[in-house]
Amino acid sequence: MRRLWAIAGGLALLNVALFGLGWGKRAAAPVVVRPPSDDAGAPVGPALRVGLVFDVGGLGDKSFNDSANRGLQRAARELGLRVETREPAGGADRDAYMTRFAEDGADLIIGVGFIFSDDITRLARARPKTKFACIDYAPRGGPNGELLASDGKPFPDNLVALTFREEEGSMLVGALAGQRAARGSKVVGFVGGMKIPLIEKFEAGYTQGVYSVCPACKVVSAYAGSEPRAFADPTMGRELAMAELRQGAEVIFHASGKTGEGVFRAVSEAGKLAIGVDSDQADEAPGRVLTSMVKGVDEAVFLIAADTQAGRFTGGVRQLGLREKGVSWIDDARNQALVSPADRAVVEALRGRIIAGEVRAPTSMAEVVRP
Amino acid sequence: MDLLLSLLSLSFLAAIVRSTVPLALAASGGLLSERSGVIQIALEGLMVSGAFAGACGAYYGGGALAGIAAGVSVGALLGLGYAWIVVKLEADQIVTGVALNLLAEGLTRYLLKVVFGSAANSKDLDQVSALWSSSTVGDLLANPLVWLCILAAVGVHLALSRSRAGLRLRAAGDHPAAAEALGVNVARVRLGAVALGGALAGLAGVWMVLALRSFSSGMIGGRGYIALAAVIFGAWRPLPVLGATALFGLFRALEVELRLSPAVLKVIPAGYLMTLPYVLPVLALVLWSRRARSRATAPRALGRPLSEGQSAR
Repeated sequence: MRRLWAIAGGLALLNVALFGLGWGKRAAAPVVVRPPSDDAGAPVGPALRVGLVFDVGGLGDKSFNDSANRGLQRAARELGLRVETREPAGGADRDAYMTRFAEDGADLIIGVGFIFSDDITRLARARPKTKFACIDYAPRGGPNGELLASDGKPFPDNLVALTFREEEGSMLVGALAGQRAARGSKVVGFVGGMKIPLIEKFEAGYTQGVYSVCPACKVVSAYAGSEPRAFADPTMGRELAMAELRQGAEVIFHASGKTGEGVFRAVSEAGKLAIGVDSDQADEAPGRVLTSMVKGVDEAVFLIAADTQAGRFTGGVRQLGLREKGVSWIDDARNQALVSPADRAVVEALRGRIIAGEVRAPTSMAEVVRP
Repeated sequence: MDLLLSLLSLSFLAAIVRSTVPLALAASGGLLSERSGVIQIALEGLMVSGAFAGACGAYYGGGALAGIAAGVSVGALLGLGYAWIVVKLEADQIVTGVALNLLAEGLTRYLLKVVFGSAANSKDLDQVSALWSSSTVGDLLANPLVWLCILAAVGVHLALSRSRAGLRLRAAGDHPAAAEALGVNVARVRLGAVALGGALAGLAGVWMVLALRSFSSGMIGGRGYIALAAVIFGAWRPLPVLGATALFGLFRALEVELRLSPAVLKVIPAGYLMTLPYVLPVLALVLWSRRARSRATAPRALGRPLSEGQSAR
């Protein structure tokens, strides 16, 4: 009898462990936002249905995912779209959630993060009637320099890949950090999330930016890990940042999603400076955020939703750099005290030269040159 | 050179302490449970639950103390629940422990969504005062949790070796039948030991949350398992277990430091370096158990249900 109870109890526990999350998901009702009635441009008929699946780090990372969510919520508000979001717990969830959205009849499915590349390509090929968009998609280079889908075949018409030239924005914030360091210890830091080519673009642009204003400066960099969890490990972010501060870093730039929270903690405890990423992160360590390298993820999500709504969706790769305002640096009232006019002039001049094509920001550490 | 200077700095010492405290707390909890004869593979889940409860407590209770109270109580309650299932109902300890770990990971994500609106992250816990910070050696010396951790580790040592309760606990783990014959209520001793251990593991989770002033899912990152490895590596004796956690804490801090050194990275690729805090404990365990035949040092009745060896009921 006891044994029976034990087995029943164990099974019940296991059941909750495995399916506990499922209850929550089914209970979450879709967010339905009705279009304002006085909007003459509002489309007639059923509103466009958009499903968005978040990256590692999830909602509340105050960086990458939150930026995507802002864009989506704006689309819901201003365009009257029906939007739904999901936060995957692990790799298999991403595919499952997107498939579920497709089966439920979503018109547009957005995957937030490079990690969706393979799954979303396969899904897009299997479901040509549904539209797919992927932020930070990792395309493959073809033999003639053209960009192919991640499976090495030409892009399907129903998949748009949004990529950013992060190296350009990173170079600007690198130039800003380099100028500060030049007046101090001549050391700056970088904390990356997962070690992948995408994040190396940040590191390379940043390092080149530092060297462009301070050839004698040293950049200490480290990555939080080599798996997706590295974007959601603030404890590691804090330890890495503290180790970089020990080596004299004046400013630390992070490109690590939620992991960066630890970087902000470390710099505010040590009284040094950090540079935020993806969103304006000035609030993460008030008075201690030199600037943020913002990536227009919100804008991109909004635009894709708007294009789809208007019937203008086109597949392929869209690259957004400084020129397209896809990336930029924050220079506003909140960091005025930290950015001197002379520093700003140097950064703005560099921006002009990158846009004009006179300076090319490196996309990998191998391309970084010390003048 | 930079590396060497860094390793000799007080700040590096602080890094070691920071990574050791949660391991030491959880390992002390695991030790209590295991010495009473109950395998404690659920340390990870207890830490996760304690951390989440700690975040909720600190957020709604207005500070670290409420967080600690919440984390410790949830850890104790879950420990008690686990003990009830494996001691009273005699369910398999490993299976139940693994289920608890899965449950904690999944349920905290669900509850995070309910409480904080995100399945991955809590809100920032700005209510936590500077008293609980752990950035420098000075901070750590002033942090009550550090002292509580030392107290817990030494307390477990003294209690096990010098007190009547400790003697009963050890008897329950080594010779439950004999203890039973001498009038010790073995089931009750085990329930108490596992619940107290759960409280300590919960506190370990709270430490992680207070250090960052936020909870994020997956933040415990296997530390519960490392703590369990420390219990085994320390051959189930309190002071060696404490030493083992310090050693594992040192590996972790060292690995972070080495990652910043281009010279080291040239020799050892980053990917291998990152495995250091996980591989070294395993390696240590293998070497140790070969040398000391640690089987002999494990509590003799570890993992065995009470009814085993008794006449059929």
